[in-house]
Amino acid sequence: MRPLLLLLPFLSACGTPGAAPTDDTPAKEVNVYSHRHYDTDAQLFKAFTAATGIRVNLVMADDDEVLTRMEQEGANSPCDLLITSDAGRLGQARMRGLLQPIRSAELERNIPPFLRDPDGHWFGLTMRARVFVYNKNKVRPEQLTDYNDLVRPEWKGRVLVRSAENLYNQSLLAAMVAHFGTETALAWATGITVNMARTPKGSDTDQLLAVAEGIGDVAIANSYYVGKLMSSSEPEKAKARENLAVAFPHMGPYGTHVNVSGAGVAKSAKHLAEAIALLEFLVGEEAQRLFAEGNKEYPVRPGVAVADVLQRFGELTPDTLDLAQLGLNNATAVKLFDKAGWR
Amino acid sequence: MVVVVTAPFHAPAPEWSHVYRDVLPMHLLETILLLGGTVLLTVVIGVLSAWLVAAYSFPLRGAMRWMLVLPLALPTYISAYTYASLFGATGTISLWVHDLSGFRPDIVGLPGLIVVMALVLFPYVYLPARAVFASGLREQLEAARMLGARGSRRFLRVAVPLARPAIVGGAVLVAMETLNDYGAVKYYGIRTLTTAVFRSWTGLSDLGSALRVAILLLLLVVLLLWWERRSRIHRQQATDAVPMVRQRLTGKRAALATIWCLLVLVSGFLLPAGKLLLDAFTIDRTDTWAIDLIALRNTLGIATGAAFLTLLIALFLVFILRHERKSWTHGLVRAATLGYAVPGAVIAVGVMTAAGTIDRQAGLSFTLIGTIGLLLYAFTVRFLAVAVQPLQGSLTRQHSNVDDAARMLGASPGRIFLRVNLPQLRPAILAAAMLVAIDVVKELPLTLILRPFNFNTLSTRVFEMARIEQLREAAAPALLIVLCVLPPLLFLDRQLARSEG
Amino acid sequence: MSHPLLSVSDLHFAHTGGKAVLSGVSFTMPVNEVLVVVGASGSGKTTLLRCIAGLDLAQRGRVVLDGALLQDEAEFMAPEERPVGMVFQGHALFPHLTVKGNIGFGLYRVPKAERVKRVADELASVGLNGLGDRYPHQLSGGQQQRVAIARSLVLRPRLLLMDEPFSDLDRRTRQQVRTEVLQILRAHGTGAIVVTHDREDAYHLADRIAELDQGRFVRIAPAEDLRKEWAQHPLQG
Repeated sequence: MRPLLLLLPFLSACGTPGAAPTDDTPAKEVNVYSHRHYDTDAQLFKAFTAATGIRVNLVMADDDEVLTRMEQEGANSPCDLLITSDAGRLGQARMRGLLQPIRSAELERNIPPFLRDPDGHWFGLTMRARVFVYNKNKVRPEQLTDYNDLVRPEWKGRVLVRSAENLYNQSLLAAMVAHFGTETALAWATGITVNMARTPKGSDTDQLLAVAEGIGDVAIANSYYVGKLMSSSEPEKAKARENLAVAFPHMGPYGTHVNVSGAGVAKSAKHLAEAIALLEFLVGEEAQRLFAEGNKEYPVRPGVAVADVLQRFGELTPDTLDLAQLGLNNATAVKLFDKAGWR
Repeated sequence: MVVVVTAPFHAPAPEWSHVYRDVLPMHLLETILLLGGTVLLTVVIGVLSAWLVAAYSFPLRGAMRWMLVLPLALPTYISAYTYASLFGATGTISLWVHDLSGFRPDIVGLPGLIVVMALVLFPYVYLPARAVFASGLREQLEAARMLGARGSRRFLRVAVPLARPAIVGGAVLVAMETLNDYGAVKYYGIRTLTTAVFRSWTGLSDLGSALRVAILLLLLVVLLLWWERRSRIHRQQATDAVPMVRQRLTGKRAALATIWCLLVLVSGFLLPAGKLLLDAFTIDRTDTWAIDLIALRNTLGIATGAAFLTLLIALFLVFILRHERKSWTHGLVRAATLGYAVPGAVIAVGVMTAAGTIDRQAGLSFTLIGTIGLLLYAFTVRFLAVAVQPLQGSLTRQHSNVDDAARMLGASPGRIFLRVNLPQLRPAILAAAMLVAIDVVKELPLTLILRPFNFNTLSTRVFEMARIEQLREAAAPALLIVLCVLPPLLFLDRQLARSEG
Repeated sequence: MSHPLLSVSDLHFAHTGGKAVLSGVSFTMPVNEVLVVVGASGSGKTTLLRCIAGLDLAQRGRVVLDGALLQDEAEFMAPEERPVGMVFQGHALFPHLTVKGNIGFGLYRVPKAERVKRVADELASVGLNGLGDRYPHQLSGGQQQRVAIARSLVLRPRLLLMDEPFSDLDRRTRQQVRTEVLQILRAHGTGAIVVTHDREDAYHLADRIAELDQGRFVRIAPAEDLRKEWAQHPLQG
């Protein structure tokens, strides 16, 4: 570590660009750590700045990396608002003491209770559903009403899904663990593994294209990748979607599994008011519409329309499981995948 | 580095028994398969191409000699994505082949990844092998000719064994690059030690187990380095530095040589780069170019800064290695260079932990994390090996008599280093700086995690697009990465070519 | 009368874009002769050997060995096909092979049993018994020299080319190796061209001595003549 010490003067000189903690002249800005990499977000931040005069400074990186960074930065962290795309990670951030509770009537009114932390540590901004995408020519929608349908023998060699490394697979299985316990969840993971059309590889979009190509007949995929494919202008994707349709499976008596992209105010926030303003802006009508239209996510705010390309496949009835459960059961889910041999 | 090594011993690792029993065996197995396959294939492609170019004249040889280094300009993950978009089960070319023949090619998998990686990484072997073939072995090769050995026998029985230290050196770099890759292996569905690190860390939320797996990774690297050292022992490298007289190939053999080189060049560079070019200019939006240009500026900035800083520290290390000949210095230098094989994200965690500790101990009112300075320091940790290697190589060629002579004239070690050693190191310093800059431009995870607010580089741009599965939008910044890397790469090639005569 | 072992006529060589190194060398050698080539450094001695070996490509000239055409304007026999052996300055031993491996290197087309025997015989004939499993760097200069000669001779070349073969041996070893080499050459009936700048080597080895100057033989004479001359002018040469 000696070289590091030599560098200290140099490092201090660099300071923290864009996050100078100048307490005497409170800058109108808010510092965001985000897992989301979408153009819609950039547009929203721009609109927020235009409407309020508050500048948005952004660092984008993966959830766990961002959490580790906040943890190491401690009380000095410049972060005001943490945005992730997994409720589990938000729950973890709370447990690790990185977030602070916020009371906001605006937020509480516009976000259904099951999509936010009961104490106000974090709030869901959008929903993503884990849905089935099937080949219209080979599958009837009645065959696909429950996640459990896919472990039946008739689906042997026909199921396409990403690797267990994928976060949304993990949270889907975590939800099953929360509802039915580990044994049922393991049986499901094992059943899917047996029925896979190929060893898991590629992205969600790749699974959809593979269904269109007949490599398998049904894919488990994230709703907003489905929405993007359905509205893509690329010729291969336009061709592929002709054969595809979406089903919204139930998890037993519960609805379709959803996870949220959400945000929480950092414990160390130096721009508290600005952070809350940004949060409220993000659940406002305008922002929610853009999430829905631009990024094909499900808005959390009641009354905002879902993107047409998704709406025409049917209504989403989300599972209202306490989302904190996803984080609590994530490690269990990963271990079950390993036991099931789902790579 | 120190943090990565020591942390596991006191960090709790609640899921270790699961990781050890259910994760490690398969991940270790696939790591070894991937590593073995990739290294073997890079050696075959690199050594064979180097031999053709160094020992024979054939049509297009002059162009092939330098063009065969071009694949190094492509970051592995970009090439892997591009190949998947062409030859994956639903890739453009696979679909076309499927329509024509009913057969569906699918490159996405272990064998495919081995091929893709080897096609990008083989120049690490090609370059040193070419240098040795072209100028280090003339006498032995001519002696073999006079003993009746034809081309293939001279190649297999004389050139390859004599170039072994150089080849192994390149192969070790390939192995390290293979080990630290995360993007490509994840996309191709391969389970490696690096994915095991992430599985423990992000999936199981068990940083302790993740660091233990990282230690295993380091052990593997130590093993590789030991192998490299062993190949250098008991073998005095022939150093007659006389350029080889090339044999002219004609007819079918000349055509075969040209075709081989073209095939390697096309599949290693022209095809993926061409696909990127096509995507970059057929995408229906141009508003991202402005962002990409700022990212380009940032990329060049940190590459320059990191090269400078890394060089300073590397020079300091080789200085104490030269003038402080104790066993601990060797240990220090070797430990300091292990960073190259560690996945960037692991180094990022280590660096953040260290910086966080300093923040708290020094009672700073701000955090070092997220400063450009810390980012540059992290690059130094990661790429020190890249800078130390050429410097050390060049320094060991400087005879220690010269140092002794200078000392007899009353110069202190510092003065000797500055006035005697350093001027002779100039070409090596330049080469080392270029190598570091190339690596920084291509690097992803460190930049992603440690960057300041509103700071994009080309590789973070590529990642952000690829992450949301918009691979076409990723083409423009990917192409800019290639363009950034080309000048230093070609400079390195020229420098090497000059020494080959 | 038997035809000559080697006939070289009008050999020309110049480096690409450089000045001429050989400009019209011609000579013939009878069977069994040891021809020593002397001359100042840069006079083209090494290049002459390399052109006869085929390692350097003479721009003009004709080389015939034992009735077989090695090269002329139209034909060129690759060095590995020529029944010519060469001992390089500095030996050029293969550092990764043992003494046996070095000596057996050219015998790869010979069945293993015969190869082993021939290598053993050759080891004995150059006095290296018991050193077969050593590596070159474990040998003394004189021993290395013998390995270099042995691996060429084991192939029974018609002609052996030697470039400054004794230059890095001390005086005593030099004498001894020289005598042995001469014996071996005589025993096998091998002709040899030896390049040296050492008058003593020339004196002891040569049947004839040729003097090369600026790419040409300025004189080629029986060794006797030069010996006499040198006896009169002991300080020159």
